[in-house]
Amino acid sequence: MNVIEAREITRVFGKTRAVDAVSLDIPQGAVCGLLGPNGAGKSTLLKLLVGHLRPTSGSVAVFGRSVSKPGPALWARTGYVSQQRYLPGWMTSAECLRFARAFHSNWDEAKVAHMVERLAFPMDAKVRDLSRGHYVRLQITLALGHNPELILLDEPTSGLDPVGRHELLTLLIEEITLPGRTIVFSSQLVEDIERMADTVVIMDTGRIVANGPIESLKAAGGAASSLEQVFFEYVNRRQA
Amino acid sequence: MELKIDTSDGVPIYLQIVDQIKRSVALGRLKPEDPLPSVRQLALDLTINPNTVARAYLELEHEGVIYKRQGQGTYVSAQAAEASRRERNRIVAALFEKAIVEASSFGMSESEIAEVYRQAIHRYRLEKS
Repeated sequence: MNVIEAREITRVFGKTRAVDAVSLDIPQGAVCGLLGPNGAGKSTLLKLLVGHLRPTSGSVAVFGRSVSKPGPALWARTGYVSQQRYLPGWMTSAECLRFARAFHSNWDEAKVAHMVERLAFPMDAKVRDLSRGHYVRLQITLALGHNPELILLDEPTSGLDPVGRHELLTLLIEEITLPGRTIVFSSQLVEDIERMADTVVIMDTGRIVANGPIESLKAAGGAASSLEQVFFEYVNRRQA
Repeated sequence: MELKIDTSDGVPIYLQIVDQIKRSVALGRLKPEDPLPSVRQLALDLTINPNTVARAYLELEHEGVIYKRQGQGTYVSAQAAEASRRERNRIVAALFEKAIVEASSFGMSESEIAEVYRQAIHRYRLEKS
């Protein structure tokens, strides 16, 4: 069963085709890593997949339903970690969590309490005063608090120190071991993708230039190619 | 159990795990009936996708190196020694192959290579005695 089915989606900003005729199926249980240089369209694609942006053309279905009319049924099953700071700066971490809880009938109080304790971000600090590391930790807690089956994360490890990065990858590993979880995450770190993903989607200038299990991509790149070599191979073809 | 993952390597992570566990068995560091960490634990220890660990264990199970006890975890199998003997032969054969390729690139004949091998064995015996 595919959790995500995107058909020929294009998103235009002014004269730029940020996402250009992308089709993508993501089966249930997959851990899909989205790799691409700056401006490749990764963030835009993720926003289109969660319904935060509408495609200029094409369609996206999540859990078999179109995301052009997102609603509680979809939000209850989806968690999204944005790269941008969208939480209101005047709210405290604790207020954000209370606010999110009110939206979710399936809010997992025990899990959230456990995450808050473990991730140790300040509960009484205002969002605007949170460091990048603390902000990401708050966002992750907000995104996972209702035990979503589908988790989308936009460069979750960017700007984190090695400890924060390890902590985040550990959280993801624990999520993967829960039944029925599907995860899509983008990263600029090839190593994160290699460690965490079973399938890789490589994007460049709004298009998907490669898509498949990591090993198949490596094998296609010839003997003993690292994922990094494969990545450069695909992205450099454009210049060639 | 000491495992090391190298993400800059062309070898897929699951195969790195398979190779290293087989090597540990071949070296006698892992013995029959020794328990292996759970999939979840090893994934957390190595910071890798649990599906990758599960895949490595499945491969090792197919090759008869490890086996699952219902609801109790994963253990090194009794036939692991046989499987690891094959592994040992494979590792050593690969080293010899490398040496042979190197030798022939120097233009050495087969009998010259065999002579170098005999001398090496001879020196090894002298050093041991």
